[in-house]
Amino acid sequence: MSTSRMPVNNADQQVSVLVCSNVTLHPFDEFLENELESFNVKVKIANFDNVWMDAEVATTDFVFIHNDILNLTVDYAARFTDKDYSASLASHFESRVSRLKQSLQRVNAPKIISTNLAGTALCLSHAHHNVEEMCHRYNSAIGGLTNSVLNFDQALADFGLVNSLNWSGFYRFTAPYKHDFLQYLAKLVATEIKRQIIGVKKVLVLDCDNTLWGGVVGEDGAKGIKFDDSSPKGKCFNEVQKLIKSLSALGVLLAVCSKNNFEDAAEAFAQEALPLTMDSFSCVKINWEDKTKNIEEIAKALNIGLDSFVFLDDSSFEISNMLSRRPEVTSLQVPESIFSYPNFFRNQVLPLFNLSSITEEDISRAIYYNSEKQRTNVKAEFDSKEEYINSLQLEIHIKNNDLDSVARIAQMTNKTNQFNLTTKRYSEDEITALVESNNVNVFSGSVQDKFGDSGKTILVIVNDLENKVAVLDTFLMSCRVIGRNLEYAFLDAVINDLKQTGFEQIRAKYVKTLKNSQVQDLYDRFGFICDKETENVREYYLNLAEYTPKSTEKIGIKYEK
Amino acid sequence: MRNKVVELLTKVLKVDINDDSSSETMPEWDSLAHMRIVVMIEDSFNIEVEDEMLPKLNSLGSIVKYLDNKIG
Repeated sequence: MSTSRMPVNNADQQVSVLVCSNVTLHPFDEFLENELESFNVKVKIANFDNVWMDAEVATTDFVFIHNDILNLTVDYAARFTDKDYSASLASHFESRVSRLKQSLQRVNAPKIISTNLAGTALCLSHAHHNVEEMCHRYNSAIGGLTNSVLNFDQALADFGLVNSLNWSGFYRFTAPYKHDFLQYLAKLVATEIKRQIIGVKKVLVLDCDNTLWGGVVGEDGAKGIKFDDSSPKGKCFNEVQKLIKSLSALGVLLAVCSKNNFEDAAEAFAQEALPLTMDSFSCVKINWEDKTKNIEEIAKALNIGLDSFVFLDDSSFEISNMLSRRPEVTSLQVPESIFSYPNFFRNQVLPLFNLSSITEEDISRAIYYNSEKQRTNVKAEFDSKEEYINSLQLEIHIKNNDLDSVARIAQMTNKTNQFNLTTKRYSEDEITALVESNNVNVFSGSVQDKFGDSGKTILVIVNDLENKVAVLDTFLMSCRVIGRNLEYAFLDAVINDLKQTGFEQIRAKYVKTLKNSQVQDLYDRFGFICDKETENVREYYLNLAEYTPKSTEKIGIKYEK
Repeated sequence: MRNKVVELLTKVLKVDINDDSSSETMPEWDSLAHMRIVVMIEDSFNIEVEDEMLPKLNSLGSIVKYLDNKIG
């Protein structure tokens, strides 16, 4: 399908990756480019003498750092039993990592993906505590540098040392890995890069029979299905349900999509020993309809795009049906042997969601969706949209350069796809740099109404340029507050602020992605004038003197400088 | 054997291979490519190339001849 191969980020942009390693990784660059074929990715391997320096000055979108313990220094592999030497080397790496961290406090810094330092290749039989200590210190440092640390021990374990290492290659060319292993490593790195480009998944849709529990509830009855410690397979389903529950606690939305009689499934969920209950799910579709139709309705109900969905089912028919008709959904089949199911879930399903940076908003997201249900009910009572919006008693609380919200602001830039004019992704460090910069204003808005607080959901980042021209670098709004005309009130307030600061013109851009067509004419609606248009980018300007506020509803604004 | 080596060289060098192909006639056959060729020969034929042979395996002819002697 052509649509699923198109990059979801700025469609015309190439993604660049610099590979910094202390060993020769060729042809890892080709392997990685192949793995990321659909993303127009250019991979370059840096000279291996200069890992840290090259990473510090990299201008690529991503930097992949890999250090192998075999080649840490000329003779570390020979001196690893020397405690002092190990310790001084560890200090050296700690200071290199912290220098790199400092150099990354800049706008447009690359995203860092790194492996952890694995000691296995050096001392397989008796993991020497010097090596363990060394690895531990290195890994703690690198863990603070980036959110995506690939577990290299795990990769070596999956593949086996014998199948991974090429000793003659190491001593001849400092190229310690067999090609098959490099291919595997490329796959791991590609998965992580894809995750960062596409954005993380938000919704997990689950089948019931043989996915949440063992057996078929329609035939075996609620008492006959397996989900607890009394049977070996029940243990597996129990463990998976608990993992699913933990995802939900981290803000992932759950939904059921199952071919069953509703009453049968409800009876199953009602059992006390089942870790999950009907209430655990934000949307439930238990019927005999086609699952692609059901999943579309779930997407509509939650107002989240299908490409943020993961679908888990035991039936190969349902999986291939979903894969061929809704390729944007990540569809995974429960492994044939149920005993490998929990391990599969931990390693294949969990990593699709963002578990590293959880904000308060994440945890209460399910609550927002519940108040959204109430809003939808009320909406039906009003004749016009304006009347409905006025009845909500909306209020936006705007803060400028709010250092306390850096985590949430960065998260919004990474998660918001539909109402997002430029789809620029920023890390927390980048947002901190922007907030602290004198030339940038970061306006963020929290929204509340009579049904509850929707949290920080609107963002505008403005870059100052010379000659009294301001540039809208980012304008986005979280999907849970879309449809209440908040964008007008918010941008009115921002424009008013810019006017008072002395700006005379604003420049703005719409950059097309697969998901943001709903805002393709947003700036036109605001009266901006388009002065440059290519296939994927539309550029606009607005003279502030001519601007009249666009918001017509009663929306309260509280503004904090 | 020749076909297999041609296939392998094409994969690494990404150009057409003929009987004259060698590190002296082709700019693509640089030291990095040479490393990959040696590693691939070792991987695919499950052998270890002797050190003194490393610089000599620099053409289609010499590689085919070497492999014929070694495992043919």
